[in-house]
Amino acid sequence: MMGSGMLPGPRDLIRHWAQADAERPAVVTVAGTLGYAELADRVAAVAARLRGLGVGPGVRVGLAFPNSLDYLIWLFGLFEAGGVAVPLDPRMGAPELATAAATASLRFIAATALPVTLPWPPMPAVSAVAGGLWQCRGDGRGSPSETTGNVLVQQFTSGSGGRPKHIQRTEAQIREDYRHFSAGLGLDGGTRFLAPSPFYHAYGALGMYATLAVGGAIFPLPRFIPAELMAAAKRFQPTLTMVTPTMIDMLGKCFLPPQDRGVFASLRHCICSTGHLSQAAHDAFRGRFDVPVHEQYGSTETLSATVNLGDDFDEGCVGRPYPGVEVAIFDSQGAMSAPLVVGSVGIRSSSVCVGYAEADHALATVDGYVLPGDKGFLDETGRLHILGRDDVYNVGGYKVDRSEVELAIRRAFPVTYVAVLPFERAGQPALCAVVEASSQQVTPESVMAACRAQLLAYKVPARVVVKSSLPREANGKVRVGDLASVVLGKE
Amino acid sequence: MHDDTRIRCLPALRSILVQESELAGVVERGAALFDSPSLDSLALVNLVVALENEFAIQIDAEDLEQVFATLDSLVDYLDGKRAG
Repeated sequence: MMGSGMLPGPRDLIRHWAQADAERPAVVTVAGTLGYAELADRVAAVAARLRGLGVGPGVRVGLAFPNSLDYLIWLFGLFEAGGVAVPLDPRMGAPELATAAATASLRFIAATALPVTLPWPPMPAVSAVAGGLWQCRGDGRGSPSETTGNVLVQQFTSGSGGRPKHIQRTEAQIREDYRHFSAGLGLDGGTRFLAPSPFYHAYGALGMYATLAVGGAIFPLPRFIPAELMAAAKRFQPTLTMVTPTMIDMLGKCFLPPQDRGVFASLRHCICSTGHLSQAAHDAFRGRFDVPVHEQYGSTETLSATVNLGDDFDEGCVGRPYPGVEVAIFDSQGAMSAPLVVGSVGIRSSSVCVGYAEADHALATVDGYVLPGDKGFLDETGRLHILGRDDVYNVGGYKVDRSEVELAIRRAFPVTYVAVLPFERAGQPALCAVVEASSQQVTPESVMAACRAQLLAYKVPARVVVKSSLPREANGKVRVGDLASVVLGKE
Repeated sequence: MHDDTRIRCLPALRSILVQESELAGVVERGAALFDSPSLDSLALVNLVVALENEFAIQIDAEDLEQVFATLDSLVDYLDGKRAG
């Protein structure tokens, strides 16, 4: 086993293991198993093709694939050619794609025609080359400042906090992310990673990099459907999976034949992204499959930061920092807070990003700690607890901490998501609670009654919207930018 | 598929479609489901899970686009799963 401190760099992952152990399984799909040597050959062919088209250091290429063998071949082929990967959501429509091509200054977009990928209509900014490759009008190089610093990936943030932004991610930052993740989880060459979370998000990509770094095998799933995930688990016997709270919720309530209860028995780590995995959803999953869920905290800005590896799920608790990551809580003046004091979460490590590509968006930092915008606290044992987004609203001259209102609603009902947002009522600022829950169990009236019972009158939302499902990203995060239309009843 | 089975399935399906996917405008038998803007990836999973529980089956079709193309194709698929 290779020590986690000696893991190969991201451009060398496939070639390293192809030379070290050619027949070692790298990718498993319903079509069969591909070893590292064969994968390396296919990666090299794509790299040669890209070089022939002029792709080299600093040149940006969009990759619009669902999780698949194709994605891995194109990603590592692009890395081998020296280019910069810009992962894209394969469900993007033509206008979004054209915008991405322009704002990320793409030279090409590679995509596949899997059934989950919508047809690509003609676009003025993009024209087909052949064989899954489209040429864009940009020169692929971006501004001079963007081509320095050994950028490996230009990542779109999910936009869960508002408008999507770009982050430049260097080889060293990505390597540090999968190094501390591998070390924290104790991954080794026997790792078998079942991957339903999209590789085009930093969270799903982490498991992919980490597995290939230790010489493990990946089973990519192009979409999440419970029965398909369970069928893949039966075939693949995974030791690691990375899911979202939505996936845990669905797996806890989908139809389950009795013989499938042990389907995840081989899992050593079931990692779940932070996003308010409710105690009820966790308990339903745990009760069915007898597998602990390890909640991980991180963001596109900070990459993986903490994880609760204990068998003691506690809603909102995201555990301790990965090796090499520091976590601190800051007050509104930027001073570090004591344990149990609620404040802004700060993350410091060599994998955090240094800023956004967009000049009009500054990254919040204090003493080298990046503040992703979440509110939380550290307990006496050093475990991080996340309470929600770091927002305080002014309602009629009173300050209202949205996380306090959200917590009151969470305490009263088994909701899968709640957000408190400002809106105007008769020209005055007011609060609206958007709640995702079963309308048979939760109503606007019952939410207001629960808030009145727990909160001062000015903190009670003036409007409550209860929906059975809210608009979400593919990784399960609610699209916060779309909630305004939910508040206004225009969705 | 026998008409009496279809008659039993359709009301349940329409109810689930409206409740889980907010596809209130897409409950005619020949209307396109999969291409509806309302059926995003999360709505699809919600729908799959609700149908699984309603009909006590597992939906693991590789060609979900075809299965969910229309209400009719969905009923045909469910009928086939139940018969199997």
